[in-house]
Amino acid sequence: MELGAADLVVRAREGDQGAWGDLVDRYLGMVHAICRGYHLGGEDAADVNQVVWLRLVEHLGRIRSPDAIGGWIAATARNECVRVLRSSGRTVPVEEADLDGLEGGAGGPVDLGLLVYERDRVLMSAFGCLDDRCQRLLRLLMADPRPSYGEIGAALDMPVGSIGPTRARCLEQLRRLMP
Amino acid sequence: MSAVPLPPLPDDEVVEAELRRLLALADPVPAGWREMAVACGAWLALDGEPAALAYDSVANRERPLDGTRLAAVTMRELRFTGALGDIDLELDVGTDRVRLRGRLTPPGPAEVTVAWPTGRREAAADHRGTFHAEDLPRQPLCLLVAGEEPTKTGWIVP
Repeated sequence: MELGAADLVVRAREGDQGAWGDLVDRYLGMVHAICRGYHLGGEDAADVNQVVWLRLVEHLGRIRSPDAIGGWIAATARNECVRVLRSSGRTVPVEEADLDGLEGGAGGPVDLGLLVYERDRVLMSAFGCLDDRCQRLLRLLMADPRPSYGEIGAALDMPVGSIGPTRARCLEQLRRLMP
Repeated sequence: MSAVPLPPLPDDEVVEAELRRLLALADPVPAGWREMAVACGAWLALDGEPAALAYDSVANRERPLDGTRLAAVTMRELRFTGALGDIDLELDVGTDRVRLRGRLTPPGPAEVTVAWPTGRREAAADHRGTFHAEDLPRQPLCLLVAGEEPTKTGWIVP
């Protein structure tokens, strides 16, 4: 039976390396989606990934609500992305709303060269034309495994109630960008 | 934390499924990320009480007292405070290797283990409480000090 995140936290902090590995597998895709949503790639994104997990192991023993671990990871990854952007002088974001339209990180867009079919390239090109907020949200919704709405809210600093309507608006925007 | 999303339109589901497939294909989690994340769990296997970071010479206003920060410095000093005293560290950071000197307060001999995600090394403290380790990999480092109450530091990213 698959263990819940809270059980994995309890086991991992007792030194169960298997449980730690399962926690990594549950949230690694989300951390990656958050990094890419901030256009971080290469060393910048790898640095965020490293710091998230280094800090998580130290944080495990202090967690009062193990159920909320995904939200903690999401918020930590987001804060690290913002810090990397800030420290490189690319932007000084204050609130989520201010992040739209800012110059992206070194990660750049998706490598369309990896896509063979024209229709795939069209969809990914359209995705790259979405505003940053939409790209961030959709990347999180596409992460494997898919994060909960609570985790997505923590990653985007967005009320959970806004996620459904924003998702619908972003998908509509995506469809309109496609020929 | 949980909210029930509105039922998606079929079209949304189709677009999402395509997008999910393409992002997995064209923008996957980079090689090495999982290994790095799993290796960070080595800290959990160090059997000691965490010591609190009390000082870090590269801490700044934006990021106060955080022991896990990359920095473009060659010398770095840190102090961790545990139940039985302090662990003072001096890191000499080279391009890809690190030299570490440390001092325990109160002074005295102790077994010290320097650990990084993929390995560890012993570095015994002498009667003055001083110890050192040369030629360490430039990877996240942490220390375990054995004794009556074993103590470990948090990760330090040199």
